[in-house]
Amino acid sequence: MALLLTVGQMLSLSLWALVRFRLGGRETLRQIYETGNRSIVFVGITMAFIGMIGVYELASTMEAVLPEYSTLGAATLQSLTREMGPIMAGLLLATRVGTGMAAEIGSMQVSDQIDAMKLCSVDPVELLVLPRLFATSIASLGLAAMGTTIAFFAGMTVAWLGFSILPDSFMSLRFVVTADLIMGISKALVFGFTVPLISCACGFLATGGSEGVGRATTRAVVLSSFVVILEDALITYIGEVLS
Amino acid sequence: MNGNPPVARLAGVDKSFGSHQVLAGVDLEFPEQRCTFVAGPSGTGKSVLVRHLVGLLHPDAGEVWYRDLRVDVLGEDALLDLRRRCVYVFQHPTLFDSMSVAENVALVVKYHKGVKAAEAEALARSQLERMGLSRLADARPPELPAGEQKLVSLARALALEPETLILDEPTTGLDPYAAFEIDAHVRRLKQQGVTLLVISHDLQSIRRLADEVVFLFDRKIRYQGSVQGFFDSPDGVLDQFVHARVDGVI
Repeated sequence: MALLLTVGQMLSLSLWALVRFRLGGRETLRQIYETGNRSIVFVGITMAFIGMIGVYELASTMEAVLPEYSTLGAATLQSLTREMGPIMAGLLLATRVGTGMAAEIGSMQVSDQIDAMKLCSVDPVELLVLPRLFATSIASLGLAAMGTTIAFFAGMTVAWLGFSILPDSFMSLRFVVTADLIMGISKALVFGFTVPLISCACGFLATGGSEGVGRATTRAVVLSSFVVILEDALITYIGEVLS
Repeated sequence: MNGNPPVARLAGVDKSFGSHQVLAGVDLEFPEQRCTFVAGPSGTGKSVLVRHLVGLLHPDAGEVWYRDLRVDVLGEDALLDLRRRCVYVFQHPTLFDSMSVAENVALVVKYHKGVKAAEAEALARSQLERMGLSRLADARPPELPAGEQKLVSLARALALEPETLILDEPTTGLDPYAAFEIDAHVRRLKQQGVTLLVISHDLQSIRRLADEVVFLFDRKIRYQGSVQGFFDSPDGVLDQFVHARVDGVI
């Protein structure tokens, strides 16, 4: 309940700060670098393996059932665009970035730095949360696009070497329609907004020294991963209904 | 009391954290332009008590007043105004590690006085100069020893030119020289007529600086009065505290 209240309070204060043009440009750029650039290798390598494993499993199933591979590349790209790319970016951000945010803000909370900000007339939400919300949304979009591309090309390599499917026939856009792109982009933006929101709220609620910071960090990664999956299901359902 | 009107007042304040009651029916007044030390054994709620004065904590029952403002019912905007006049300095330095010393002080000036960043930085540097801390202006807080970090957080507070300054254990954990330096600044502020509330266990500082002492024990005010009366009190609890006796109820 306290977490819900904190999330609601942070949302309203962030919107209020945004309306007053209080988004710090320099801090937002720094956060984009921290969350985006510093996640590139982690997300890139993970997505390459996901692409390879996914294509291997899909090709094996197609081989047993159909058996032909003409739709393998198109189906892989569609699944990556609307599902795997954004959700993996969201979950990887929750583990790499969300934990960092919860730990950083949690440490500030238990060492009175958040209260010190309030006493200095500095709004902690404006200074700490708003730039992270913006930066992580942008980074999530970029990482989802990059991850989808890497996973697709890694899968194409497995298809070529493991199943003798030529890159020309694998590289097909025929299943991907505008609705898939919209769904992928929406998911990446929503996940990129949710992860810092929940992680920062967990940090703000940290109590009790370093043990409390540890609890906040665990809570942040568990809750944000869970909410990312719930949101994924919800957006997929809404997308299906609308289309 | 010396006859000065109270600048801050707590009336019947109760405060609990879960099932643990920290303050029970505390009635207390802090006189204006005086240096009041709040003493008491560790964990008796001294910080909890003074945090009510700047709205960092809200009482479960009772009222908190700063002049004619009822603090415990103020909204955040009104609290900002109060915190410009009544500045609280935490026990830990609470400086922002990612900023230089000058930027830490400038941040407060910028938000509180509503000036541009360049002007805030200039004001911050002149504040550091007044306190003899110019050499630290470009250092990062983690590079500084504890005593200098405390001096910087004091400089940050004084940049706001407060009428009341609350210092939470300003000399705890410092070497004697650093503690003496902090005390020297407190003495100067006292001479300037700033109302001072100091939470401290440091008996030497109490002897040197206090006009009045408040002793908190077992959720209530056990003593409020003169420094001499505090040190000479026949009360067993105060006697044990002042003379650091092992046997007793503390």
